[in-house]
Amino acid sequence: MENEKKMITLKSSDDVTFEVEEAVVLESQFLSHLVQDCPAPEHKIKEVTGKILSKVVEYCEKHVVVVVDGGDSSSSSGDDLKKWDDKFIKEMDLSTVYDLIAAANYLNIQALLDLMCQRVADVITACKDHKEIRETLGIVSDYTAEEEAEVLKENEWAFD
Amino acid sequence: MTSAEVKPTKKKNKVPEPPLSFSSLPDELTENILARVSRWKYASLSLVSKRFHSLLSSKEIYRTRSQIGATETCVYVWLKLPDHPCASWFSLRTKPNYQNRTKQRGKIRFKRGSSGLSVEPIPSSSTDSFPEQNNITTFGPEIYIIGGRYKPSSSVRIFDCRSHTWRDAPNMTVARKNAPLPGPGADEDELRNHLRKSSEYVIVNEFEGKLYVATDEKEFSYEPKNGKWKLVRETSSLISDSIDVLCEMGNVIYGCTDLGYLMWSAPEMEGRKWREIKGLEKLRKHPTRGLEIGCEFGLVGYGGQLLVMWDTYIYKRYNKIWCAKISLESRRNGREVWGKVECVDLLTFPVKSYERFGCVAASI
Repeated sequence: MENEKKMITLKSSDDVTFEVEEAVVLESQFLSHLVQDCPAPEHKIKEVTGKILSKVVEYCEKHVVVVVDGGDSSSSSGDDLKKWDDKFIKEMDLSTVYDLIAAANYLNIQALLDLMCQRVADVITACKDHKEIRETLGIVSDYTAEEEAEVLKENEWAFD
Repeated sequence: MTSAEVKPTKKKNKVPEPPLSFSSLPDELTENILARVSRWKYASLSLVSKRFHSLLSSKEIYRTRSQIGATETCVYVWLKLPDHPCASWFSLRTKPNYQNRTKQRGKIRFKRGSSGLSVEPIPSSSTDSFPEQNNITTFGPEIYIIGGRYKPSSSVRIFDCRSHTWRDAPNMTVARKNAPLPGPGADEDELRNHLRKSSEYVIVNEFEGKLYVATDEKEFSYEPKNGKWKLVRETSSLISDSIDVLCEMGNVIYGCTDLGYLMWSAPEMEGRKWREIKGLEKLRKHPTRGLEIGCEFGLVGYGGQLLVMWDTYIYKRYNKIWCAKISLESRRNGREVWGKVECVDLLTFPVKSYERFGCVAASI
């Protein structure tokens, strides 16, 4: 196994290239199909920018290594992986998170998608009210005052 | 060999330019995010924008919650108030941000307020019957209250825990298709025939697609698929005079006796006998609030733990109910179940006094 490491080159929409092991690519369902169906040495991913693809590759490389090394000490490496994930997320601003959500969805990397969606959910959870949620997520309200009052009334039971 | 260097952009301070792309995420992904947020936050979230409101009003979001394993256990308590014809309902709500912000959970044992639960009144049903332990059951995010205790009736009231609204069960033919519950709403004639013969029945549990119902001493199973009733045994060991309340979690039935013993019974065990949950002597024997001196009990599964509720005021009822969260551990190859008290809390209800109480948990 060790000596037959096959390398694959991924090229982002803005032509940044990443040379990765095949195992890394297999983390993505979309890419594994692509690589199987079309055995070219280089694959262009038009939907993902270099900035985001580098994050995707970083994530997949980390997760591949741990799974392979994991073997018998799976629980401790699981903890390490979680720590790594936490750090990976913390360093990221929300707009990168949104881009990664879209990329993970497109490339079909379930664990990355879960991680990123959870991150946004945690950010929402930390907000104290709907105004803070709007501000944090950059959403402009499309309610009229009356409509907002109506929704408030509908959910009255749920407020403190 | 490794990929291009990565320079993570750090924007920790609140920068004036807001992230623009949240709104550009498709509904499916927005829903995936919202499904991971506590349902207690949904009211605030609905106020954010029309799109949020529409996503959260749809039943799809609850399907997503269950698919990604983000469901929450919500506990509801009803009280019989003096001179009130209807039950008064309350939800035990997880205090906002409790789980995320408190790191010492589980460490502070026996400290009040440590359960992180607060009591919130919810709309009451206009039904005149009080839900008893034996005619109330949950089906996913809905609570079914079936008939009355002393007058077997066909009325089924349903509380939708998603919207906190009450409705009557749909008429029989519709219910047959939609609700695989063997209550009168699902198969009225059959259940009624059984009920005519006995004044009390208990929905014991659901196991491998069958629902176990005990009437008097007999135990029946009901298969929603074909609507067949079967006599399981003439004398049910599960129905004992001393078992006050029951709940089911992961195919194990838990019960609390009127003397405050917490019991368990697994269907794969021969004869389905009751066994005591070990390790809970302190909780039972506590001089001023022990389960032993409890006069009324409530028991629900709470995300893998047991939530037991009891009151100890025998002669005079106040507006308080004790509750304890108990984590469970199976030992000796599944022959023993050990409990560990995670916290004990005194819940205060916004009423003067009550006569009786009951509780039920729904997964939302």
